[in-house]
Amino acid sequence: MSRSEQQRRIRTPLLGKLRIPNPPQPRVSARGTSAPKQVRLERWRIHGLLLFGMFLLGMVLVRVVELQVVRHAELSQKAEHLIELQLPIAPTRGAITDRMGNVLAMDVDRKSLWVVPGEVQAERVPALALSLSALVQRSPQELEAALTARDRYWVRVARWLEPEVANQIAALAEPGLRLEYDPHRVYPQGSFAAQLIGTVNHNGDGISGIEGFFNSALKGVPGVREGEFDSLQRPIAIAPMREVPPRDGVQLQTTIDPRIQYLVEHELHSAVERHRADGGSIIVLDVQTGAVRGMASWPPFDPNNYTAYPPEVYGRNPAISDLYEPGSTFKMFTVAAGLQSRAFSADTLVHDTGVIARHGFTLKNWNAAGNGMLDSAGIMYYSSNVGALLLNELTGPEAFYQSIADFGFGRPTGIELAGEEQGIVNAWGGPNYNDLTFLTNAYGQGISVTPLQLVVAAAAIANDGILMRPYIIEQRCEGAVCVATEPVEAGRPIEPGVAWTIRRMMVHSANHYAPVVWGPRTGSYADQWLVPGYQIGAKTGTSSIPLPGGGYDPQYTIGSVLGFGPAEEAQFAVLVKIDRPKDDIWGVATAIPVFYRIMDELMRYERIAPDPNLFSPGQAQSQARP
Amino acid sequence: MQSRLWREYNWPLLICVVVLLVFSALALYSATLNAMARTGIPLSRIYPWHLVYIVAGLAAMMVMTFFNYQLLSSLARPIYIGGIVLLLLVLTIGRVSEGARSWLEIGTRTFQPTEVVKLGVIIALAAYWQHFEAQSGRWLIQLGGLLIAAVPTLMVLIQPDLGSAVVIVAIWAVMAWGAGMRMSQVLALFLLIAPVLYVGWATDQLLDDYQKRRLFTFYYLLVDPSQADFNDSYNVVQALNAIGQGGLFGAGLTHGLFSQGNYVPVQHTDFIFAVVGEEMGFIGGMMLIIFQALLLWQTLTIAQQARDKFGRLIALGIFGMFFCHMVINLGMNLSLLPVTGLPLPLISAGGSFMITVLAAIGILQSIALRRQRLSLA
Repeated sequence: MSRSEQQRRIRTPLLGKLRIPNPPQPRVSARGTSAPKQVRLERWRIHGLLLFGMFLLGMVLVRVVELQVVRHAELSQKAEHLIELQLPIAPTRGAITDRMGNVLAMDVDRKSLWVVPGEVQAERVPALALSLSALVQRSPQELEAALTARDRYWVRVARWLEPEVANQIAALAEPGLRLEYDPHRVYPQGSFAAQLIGTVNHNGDGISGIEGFFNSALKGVPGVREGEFDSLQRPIAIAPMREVPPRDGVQLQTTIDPRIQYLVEHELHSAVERHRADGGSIIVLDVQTGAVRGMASWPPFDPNNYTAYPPEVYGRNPAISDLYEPGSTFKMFTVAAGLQSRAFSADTLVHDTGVIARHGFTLKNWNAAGNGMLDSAGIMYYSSNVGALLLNELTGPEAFYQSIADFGFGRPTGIELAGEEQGIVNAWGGPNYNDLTFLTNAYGQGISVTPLQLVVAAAAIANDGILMRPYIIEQRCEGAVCVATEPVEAGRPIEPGVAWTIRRMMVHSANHYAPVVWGPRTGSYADQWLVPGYQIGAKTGTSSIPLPGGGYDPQYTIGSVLGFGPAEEAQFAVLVKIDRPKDDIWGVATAIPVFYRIMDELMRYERIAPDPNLFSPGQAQSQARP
Repeated sequence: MQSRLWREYNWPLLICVVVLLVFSALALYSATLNAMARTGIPLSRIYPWHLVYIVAGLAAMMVMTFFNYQLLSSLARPIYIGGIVLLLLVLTIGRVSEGARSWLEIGTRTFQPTEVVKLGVIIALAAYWQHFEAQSGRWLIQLGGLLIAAVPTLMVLIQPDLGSAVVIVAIWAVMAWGAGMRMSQVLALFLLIAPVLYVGWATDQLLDDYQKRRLFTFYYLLVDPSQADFNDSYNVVQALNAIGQGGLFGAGLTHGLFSQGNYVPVQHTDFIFAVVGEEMGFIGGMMLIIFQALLLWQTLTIAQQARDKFGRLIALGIFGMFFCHMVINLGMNLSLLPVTGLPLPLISAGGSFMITVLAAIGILQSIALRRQRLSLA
């Protein structure tokens, strides 16, 4: 038999005929290698392999012992730090409302999109960037850069996504995308009362206004969720959670009356536009409580988009932060100081010569014209600077500055708003006192006040001499528990009798301004009412604007009107202040009509019945508004 | 006659297989319970398929047990050529996943031809050396064996699948050694390989960037963990954390915080040992390693008792494959070796490899059954 015939053939079902090779035959080659020797060699080789294998597996076993037995405590402690997390639960920032409950500022639930570039699949990047770009309104190039930024653990791609957009992104189910809860502050009424409310920055911290002053209270206290979390920061189902719920921020209800706020903003806006003024402020104060009912300043800003404005616009509230020289509006406090200290009486006459020399300077009236012998009422009526300084010489610096301090000048009013200034008063006994300033202070020069200080002090005159601390928060609520702000008396600078006397003078003074609104009339100064049907007290002021280099702005002034109404049982104190109107050198012709319209509207709003005797000829009830 | 036959059956090997498969079913259940793939898809949907693959693999094992392994000798050429064709196919129409073009799509499932090719290379090499049995120590014959292994190795490297390439090289090394490689040849091999490796490293031809980074990460973790890149070392560090967390008895199945918390990436395949280590602890991990070692031992026992050189070499090749997978996988889980994605035999998920391994065990049993010169026909 040949060797090939010795091979066995097997018929298999699938593979057909297969042959099985011969058992090994001793074969004599040229080198004479023989089979038996080969087998022995292989035995040895297999033992070698076995030894090698056992050695390596032995090393593995040693390593397991090291990790799980020797270093177990150390490793598991280190590992616990990884999965034991304390995740903060964000509290909701408290809402801010006006006194009627309309929302001025609130948090809305939004989500922010983060990208973990390490988890994004490289081949999906272009498609992902395209589909995201439509959803988050960013260019695909920017998104591609974020998706491939592998040097960073995570990158924020978009903030405050609408729920619909967030849901669409979640539905993409792409690895490496994270949606995080990120509440967004929204001011539904835009620039309405913006300087008052202030705004929050991108970290959620209030930076101005109520948002700034009450930041920590509004923010609330974050809660915490403690336990084991997986790599996507979802709780691991098998481990129990410990949770401390967050305490939401307080809800603040302001004293702002929406209609009054709208009124003052509207009037300020139209006056600034009509007279091309630089800015201005209007404050309406509740005389009896000190509550701020309206507070507007120009220029305004939109707190939803505050970064589009310069910091001096969104970062400060001119009504409490702007210092200016009050000018003639201050004469009411000059008279009040003298009457209160009994330095003179309402009948005391001084001789207004129009120009007067004091301490080497020439001081004069606005038109340098004298008005002859004047009593206090006349000084107010004609706004006589010389008369006012003569009154101050009667009062003396000690009594004058005492009274000024009693009215609250030179220190913050204590209103709960961020950035309040205290003003500059060079008082008697202070380091910067000088005799000349004491005299110019009589007509409101050489002294700086804030608009709020002025209106608060005027409210004290209207409130029978009781100075109220101004406030802006009607009540603060934590959950269902609300604490209302109680009005606080801040002092009694003058007696009720003195207050009454000054109010009478201011009513006369107000009627003196009526021609600005109603046109010129002849006759006695009481023949025309500024606001027909009501006795309104008011005093105008023209403030010279100090320039940084010294001296005053030769061209423009600040025109203001400070007053209250009705004169008796007053409801509101109002300050109108218009900065640098371009067509009105004294400023008062700009401010008076604004003051008139606001007072007129406030009287109606409070449903105070007009007195038929308080109408001048031509001020028919039917056409009360010129 | 039949009862005699079953006495030859290697029962310890079967016990190893059964124990390891039970391990696999438990560990994988837990590993896929809450975890997610990198694509965000929950892993739990692969578990039923894993069981299907185990059953399919057991069927393949039965078939190969009853199939006379000697018949494979005459099928070696078509098997080898078929394997090369499969690798060509995967390089042209294969699907890219995890950066490598290693998968063929069959309907909704994918198939990794590389795993089957490993077995094909074993059969081809065994047939080759059996054919040149008497001259196996000759330089030319050794060179031929090297060529047979080199072709699929290079094709696998192109995918790129460094781990499988290493496995094929290991298979070749063990079989060449078993076939009678001389000491002088081993020495020559080392002298030849060292400069090739050096030039390949220096010119960046040998390793991809990510493979180099893995190597550096491994080095840093050994020398100074603080220098290791967070993203690059993430897998390894989390696997170490999970294993260290396990302690003596483990956290209990489905109670491992790292395994359930999705911290260990690819914990269903490459890092399955981290799950075992965390949830079954030192006891469980050691049992697993011991049974894997037993499996290797039985493989070598079968090689030693084999009736002919063909059977012996196949058993050695299978030993090389298993051993390489085990050492590289466990070494990477324990930070003893750089990360090279190789599954743990009989434990990891992955259908192609599971079926290949069980078929290989079937061949081992076939060799064991036929160690006496008995005829089945």
